[in-house]
Amino acid sequence: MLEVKKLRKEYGGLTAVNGVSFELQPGDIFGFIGSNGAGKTTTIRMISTLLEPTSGTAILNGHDVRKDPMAIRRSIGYMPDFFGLYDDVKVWEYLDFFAALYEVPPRDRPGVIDNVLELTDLTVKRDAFVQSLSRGMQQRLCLARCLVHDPALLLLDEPASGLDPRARSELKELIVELGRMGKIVIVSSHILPELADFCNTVGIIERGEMLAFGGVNEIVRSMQPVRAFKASLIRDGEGAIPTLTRIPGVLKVESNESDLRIEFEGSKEQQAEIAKALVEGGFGLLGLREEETNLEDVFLKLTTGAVN
Amino acid sequence: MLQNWIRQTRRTYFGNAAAQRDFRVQLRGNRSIIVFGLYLAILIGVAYIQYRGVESQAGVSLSTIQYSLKSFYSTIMALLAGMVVLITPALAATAIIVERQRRSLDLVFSAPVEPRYYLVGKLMAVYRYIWMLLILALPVAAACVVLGGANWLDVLSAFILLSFHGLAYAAVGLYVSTISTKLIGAIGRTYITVMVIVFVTSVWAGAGFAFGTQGRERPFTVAMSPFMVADGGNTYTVLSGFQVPNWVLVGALILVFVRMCLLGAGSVLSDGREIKNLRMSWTVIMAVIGFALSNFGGGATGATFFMTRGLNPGAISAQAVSGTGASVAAGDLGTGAFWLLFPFIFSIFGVSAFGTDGHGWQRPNGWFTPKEVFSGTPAGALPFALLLTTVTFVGQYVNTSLSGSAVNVVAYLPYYFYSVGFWTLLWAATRLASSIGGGLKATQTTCVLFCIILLVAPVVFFSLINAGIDKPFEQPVWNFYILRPVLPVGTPTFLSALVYGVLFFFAAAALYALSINRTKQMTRTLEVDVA
Ligand SMILES: Nc1ncnc2c1ncn2[C@@H]1O[C@H](COP(=O)(O)OP(=O)(O)OP(=O)(O)O)[C@@H](O)[C@H]1O
Ligand SMILES: [Mg+2]
Repeated sequence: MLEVKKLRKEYGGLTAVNGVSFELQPGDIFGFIGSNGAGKTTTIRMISTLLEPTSGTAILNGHDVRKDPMAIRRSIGYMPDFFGLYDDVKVWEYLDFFAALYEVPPRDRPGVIDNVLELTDLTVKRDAFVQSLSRGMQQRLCLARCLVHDPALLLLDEPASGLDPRARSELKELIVELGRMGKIVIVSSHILPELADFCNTVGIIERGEMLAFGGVNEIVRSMQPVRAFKASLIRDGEGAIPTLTRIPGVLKVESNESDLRIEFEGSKEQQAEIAKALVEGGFGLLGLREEETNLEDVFLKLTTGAVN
Repeated sequence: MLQNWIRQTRRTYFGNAAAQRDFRVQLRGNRSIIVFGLYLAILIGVAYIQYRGVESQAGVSLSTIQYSLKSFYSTIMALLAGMVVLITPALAATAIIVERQRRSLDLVFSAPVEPRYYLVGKLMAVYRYIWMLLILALPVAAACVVLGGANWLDVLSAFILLSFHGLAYAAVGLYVSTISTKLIGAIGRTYITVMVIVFVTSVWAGAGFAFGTQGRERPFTVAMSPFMVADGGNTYTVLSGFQVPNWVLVGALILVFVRMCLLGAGSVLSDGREIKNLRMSWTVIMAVIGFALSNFGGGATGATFFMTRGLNPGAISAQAVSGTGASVAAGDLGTGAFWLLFPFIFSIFGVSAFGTDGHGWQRPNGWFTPKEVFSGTPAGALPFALLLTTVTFVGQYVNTSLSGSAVNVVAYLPYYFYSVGFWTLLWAATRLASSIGGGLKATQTTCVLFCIILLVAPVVFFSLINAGIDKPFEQPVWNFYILRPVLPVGTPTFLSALVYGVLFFFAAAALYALSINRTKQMTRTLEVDVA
């Protein structure tokens, strides 16, 4: 279990992270979302013990980042938002180096290296030089490096940046697999939709403060408590407004020529009344559908986008 | 606890991952072949030319031949020393900075790796490389032995010493590498530092040959120069009746030096977490060095010879004539302590300054807080300087009292006073420079300039006006030089140390007073920023 408690980091006068708290359980995949400069990297680096928090702390399985950084390091894999690869070594040598740093016993290392290479689909590149790998492969090698010691917590800082769609979806699968293995995975990104479909928890950070934290659906709902329907009519929609507003649960109706936008909060029965009224009123109903909640909109609405 | 320590230590020195990786890369590709090829070509070429010179003397007396063979051996060893001096600093100076530029350091330190583990690993890789260079030179050295210029013991002690010297330069390179941001800067600074070290140790070593007369008995300083390992390597010093090889003594000194470099580098890499360890080590080491060197070699006034008279051949011969058993003079002892502490000048500005360096703040948290003496804050800087000075002087004093010829306190104290004043003055200058608010870099530059004006410029100026005069260094104008009381020329008096000490304190107080208002203002702005 990871408990982050009121983490705070100041750089001189600037507060980069301001009292961020959250809790994650094994198997959680946490999408950490914020615009540029929101404080994602700073938070992740504090959890990975690379930055000393100004105040607050994080506790992973009973080990405190401030009191016992070495124990924390043994159980995390940190993948920064840059590669930091050595280019003058071979892929297996690179992994062997980190396996040694992570105190994997020498006789176990070949097996561990083969495992992580297979998991990240790099087995064929075992003897290639790191500099000869493509960007996507280098990214996967970075991930492989984070896995040599079988960590309980993975901190992935913008792992999807610079990947093509195919590589992205492969990465997602890999992350889901890691979650299934019982690891806590923290993935940061600028883009909420990118994470929404495979994270079970999402946190939105802005100017160093956690604006929202919870399940994806919860967050969307909390941001958009009212549902909206779109109706297309044959005739001008203006005439339908009085009829519709009379239905219980309808909050607001806007028309745009033959299109209607109906904000609604009520039961299923009441929802059925909408279609009925439009048909019976002879407005020529062509279609009625629920407006999709756009994650991008939610995100933009939550964050002002203005950092510092 | 102990078990854990043993485990960590074993992990650090055996199978160190950083060492293995570096070594693998060092040997990879054409680069190493070119380096080794060039190295061997130079070595064999010089050896051949030298040997032809010896050979052409056929027909002259045996002793001349022997002398030429010996100088043949010395040349080869000096050449090897040159290679070590040239190659090792570059290897180490790039080590950390390249990783920082590649940003791989963060990855390494997100693993359970102490800076010490990583730095030792880097150093071990360099050390192994030095031995490769030395072993490649073995055939040439063997030729010297076969021809009769040296024996195997000479060669062995010379090689061990050279490897130690290389280790020391590598440690300097590693430290400079951690504090630098640019590759060229790191290499340049490392070479300059190494050149200074080589120069100073060579002067000491050269002076050391004026001492000791019976066969191979020499002061250990003769082994301190890489360029004199041929003559200085296979020598010994008599300590409490035992003949201790000088390479053992110098090796031990170098290991202490290396440890300090690594602690310094480690405290930079760990974001200051190892500063406490570093400062405590310095305190202990200064006490021990002060104690040990005050009376080195049973009354041959080791420390003073070592640090001050060593720079002045005239004084050395005088000392040599006076022989062993001469009681230690307060002036010599005080001067020795001052110069032992002098290297602290490389860090006094760093530890006293406050301001920003773009990453974080060093807050002006007060002027003198004894509790912070071992932490990296500006308030602990002056207490630390005071502590270092005190333990060095006390260490020396204790040793002289134990050896039965306690130094005259009245004459000795003014030098202590002078030293404390000196560091207080530099500290105050740093405070003033910091309070201007240009940041840590600007502060350091200002302070270096201040030092040059104070310490270097007068030497140049006074030398110029005294040029051509008989005994230029004994002119009264030198009394206006602030290091006058601790210079090995003429006869310095404790009175001048006292006068300068008082002047230092007044000047420091004035500089500090000037900085108070600005510092307060800065602290206020900072607090507003944070709120
Ligand atoms: N070393 C530093 N010194 C001063 N300020 C810093 C430092 N590192 C980060 N900051 C500031 O802290 C704030 C948060 O930065 P951080 O890198 O955590 O953002 P981020 O959410 O990771 O952004 P991005 O999406 O661009 O990676 C920014 O305003 C940044 O300017
Ligand atoms: Mg970032």
